[in-house]
Amino acid sequence: MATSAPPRLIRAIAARCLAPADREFLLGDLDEGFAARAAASGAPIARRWYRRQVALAVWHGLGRRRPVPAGARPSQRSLDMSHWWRDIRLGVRTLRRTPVYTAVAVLTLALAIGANTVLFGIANPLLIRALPIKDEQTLGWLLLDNANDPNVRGTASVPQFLEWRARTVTLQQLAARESHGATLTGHGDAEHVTVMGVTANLCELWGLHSVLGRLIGPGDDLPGAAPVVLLSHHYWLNTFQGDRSVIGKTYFLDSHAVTVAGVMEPELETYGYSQVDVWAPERLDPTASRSAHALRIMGRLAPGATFASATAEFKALVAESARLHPDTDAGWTARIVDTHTAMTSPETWILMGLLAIVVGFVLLIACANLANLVLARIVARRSDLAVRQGLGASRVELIRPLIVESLLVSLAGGVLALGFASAVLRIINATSFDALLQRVDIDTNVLLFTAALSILTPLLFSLWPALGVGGESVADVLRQSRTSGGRSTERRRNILVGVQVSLALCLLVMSGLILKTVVNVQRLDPGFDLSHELTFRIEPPADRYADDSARTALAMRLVDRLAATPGISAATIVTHLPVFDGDVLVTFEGTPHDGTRPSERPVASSYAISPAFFTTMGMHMIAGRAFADTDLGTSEPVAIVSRLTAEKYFDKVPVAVGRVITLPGPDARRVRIVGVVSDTHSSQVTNTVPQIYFPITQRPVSAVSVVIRADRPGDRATDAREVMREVDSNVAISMPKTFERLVDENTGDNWIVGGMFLGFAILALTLAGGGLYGVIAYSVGLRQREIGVRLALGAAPFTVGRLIFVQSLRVTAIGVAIGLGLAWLLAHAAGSVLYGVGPNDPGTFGGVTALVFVVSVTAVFGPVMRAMRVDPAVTLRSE
Amino acid sequence: MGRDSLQPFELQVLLAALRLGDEAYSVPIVLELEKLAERTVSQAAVFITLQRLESRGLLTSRLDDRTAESGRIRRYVRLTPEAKRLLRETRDLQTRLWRGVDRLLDRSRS
Repeated sequence: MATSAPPRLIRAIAARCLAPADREFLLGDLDEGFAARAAASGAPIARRWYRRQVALAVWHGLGRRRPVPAGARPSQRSLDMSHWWRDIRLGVRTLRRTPVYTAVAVLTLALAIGANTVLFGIANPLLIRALPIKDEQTLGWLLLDNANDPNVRGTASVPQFLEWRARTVTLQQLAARESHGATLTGHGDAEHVTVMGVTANLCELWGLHSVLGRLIGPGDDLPGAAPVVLLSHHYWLNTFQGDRSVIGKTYFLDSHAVTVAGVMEPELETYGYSQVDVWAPERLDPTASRSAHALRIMGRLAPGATFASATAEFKALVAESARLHPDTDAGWTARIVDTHTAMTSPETWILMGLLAIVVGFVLLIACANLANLVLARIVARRSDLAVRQGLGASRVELIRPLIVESLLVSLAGGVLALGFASAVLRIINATSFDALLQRVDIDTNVLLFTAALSILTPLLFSLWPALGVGGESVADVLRQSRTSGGRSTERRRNILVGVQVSLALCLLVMSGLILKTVVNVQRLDPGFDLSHELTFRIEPPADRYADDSARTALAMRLVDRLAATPGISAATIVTHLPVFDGDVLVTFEGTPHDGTRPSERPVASSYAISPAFFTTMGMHMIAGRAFADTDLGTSEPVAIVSRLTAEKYFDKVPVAVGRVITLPGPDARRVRIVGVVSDTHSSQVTNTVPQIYFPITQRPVSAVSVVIRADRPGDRATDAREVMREVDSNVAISMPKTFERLVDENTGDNWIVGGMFLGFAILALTLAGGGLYGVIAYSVGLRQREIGVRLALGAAPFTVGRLIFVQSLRVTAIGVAIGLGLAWLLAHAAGSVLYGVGPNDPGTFGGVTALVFVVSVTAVFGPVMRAMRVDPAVTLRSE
Repeated sequence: MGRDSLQPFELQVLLAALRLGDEAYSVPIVLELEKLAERTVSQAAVFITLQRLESRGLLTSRLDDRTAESGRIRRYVRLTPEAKRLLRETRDLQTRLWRGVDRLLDRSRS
């Protein structure tokens, strides 16, 4: 027991907080008390006792009470911690005496700071911890932008990568990655996996770690090297049950034997990387086609190089490639960007920016509200403050207790805000389909952000009102102590209410526009049926099916069997799905709108389909015929175009049928248009582009999507797997999903965004309405005498009510006018994220203005009624 | 509470300090009070009370570093004549108040 000593940290805190003069003997006495208790009752009880004594001693400012020595400079006095202690204790006592104010203030701040915390929690992974990459800030990513369409981002071909790697001086260790599907066999059923092919230097460039075995390293990509793969952490856990003996085992990836060399770290499973099952070294073939663009390129900025200099260099490299290979490399421009930019789209930034404005406004409204409350408290304490000023208190000494009080409220609000934010983030986690949103949580960054906000906010809402303190003469203050607190205070109050109303209106308009967009996107008719379809992909392995014709034939056999299965009304294959997958564009000639230059050629999004496609998808023929089983590889090449294609390039639907178009290329194939079909939306979801369909028998491919039509499509997944096993058990199918599920995955997160906008806007309106009510009620309370005099002199109660009403609504009207202007500016800035609603949408602007007025009238109603009921006799007597 | 009256805890601390004589500082005062009152006494409360009593002129204190073997300074307290007068007055008042009450108190218990 003799060895036990008081808790060191607690003792250090005590040593810091106690006055130097008394520190030594107080600490000594506490130590001695601790030793006596440790000997009598044991160290744990003694430690508990010690902690309690130190807390009490510090709380009571012990040792700080001795009189300040005469001659000490005032600055030393005001810096002395004991003043702060006294102010904190005073603040706690004052706040406890006014529980309603405290509760309202803490709750207001909790919601406002909470809203900001939620947004920061979401932005945190985007802004701060994008990827677990070593020295992220010096990693440059090559973005290839399409010269015609800013929404399209390009990838590079293998020959481009090899050329640029040899020539670049601004980026070192140039690495690349590309993802593709493959079939893994040798471990249970054949399984479709997503493979991330990476150059051998990528793991080292990114500074990755393996949880088991080794990483992909130099030499793994050379011809003749033993083929290895790494398993992703989730795939290792789910498919191999975290079996550590998997290292060194051999499986088959697209029928090539590969050895498992390691398991990748779980930290990497974010963004698209969460979908990756297998990591494999990418063998770069210099003779690969230049038109096969698949590589994403990144490298370390060379010493002295910047993103700007690297961009300039790559612009030149890309321009030279385009000059040398105009057929395959033209039409792109290069940028070198940091990891954050590379991982997110411009729309994400616009939305995040808008949300940041929204939560910033919510915080400002809350601050304006609280500033009004603080102003009211200052007015209530005016005489007290004036007397203290008269007795010689400096302005700092008058303001400090107010600031400390606000800080206490704000810190309590911050703690509550964390709870609120954590609940909201958990809901977002649980409901989101987005890998990024599924990862949001409260970490150290978020905690620091909330703490900083809680400390800075009080400066915002208490400094401005507090600055008015001590500015007037003591005599003036004492004389007018029973009035509203002077004209300047009243002006401050009105400005604050006007600001709240304008910000709230602006937020409501933005939220209205965003919500309309979300609803429009959700209601969007993609041009085909969504409620009866189930889809999955198959990719027959190359070793069993020699060419694309054989693979397509297998897929046709599969859909024939599926279509004959009870419960399935139709089945079809298609190269890729409209809306859900990307677009594959083809150009053609032979229309009245061919143009004179290659860039003006008609262009359409192309699909290769089996005959049952249109019936399975619920699309309908408008003219001509659908494909038939007689449209084979050996018969006349045919095509079906969409209504938009027919109208845009042939002027009228009937004109298109029977026309022969030419698809440029080495073989310049001539194709006859045999029909016109209804439109579907493109991969941009919100628009329709010209489309053209070919029979898959005439354009076979290596991998296809299968679509099944059934009354209960979700129940047909097992049938799909069974039929595939019967047709060929070595071919894997991807996870079957209904179209409705795909829609949810694609647009579900819109609801989260829309919901956040709506939630924040309602919060803003409630705060602004509450603020308006508070100010008017308070002002009516202070003007009781004036109202009493007016009534006593013969004014009708209705006239008095109207006076208050008009004065209040004038403030609202000014706020509304400013808010409308602000909203108009913001809506135009955010025009690119809106869909189906214009930035000037009169419905939204009008509706929101009406709503704000209704809320204002409701807020003002109570105080106005109270003013009309003032009894002049009672009021004047109490004066 | 008037200038000349003592709160219960102040009274207890003064009495404990009086008993301890020259050896009165916070630690033995706490132990003394715990022994007599048969309950835990907060050392911080004793610190605060000692400071208050000193500021009221009921105690004087001196820093003593004679206890160099323990390597630290102690602040010993001593009652002022004013404190002793106040204690006597308190005792006399209480004695008067208690006179004849014991019998009533015991009877009401039975």
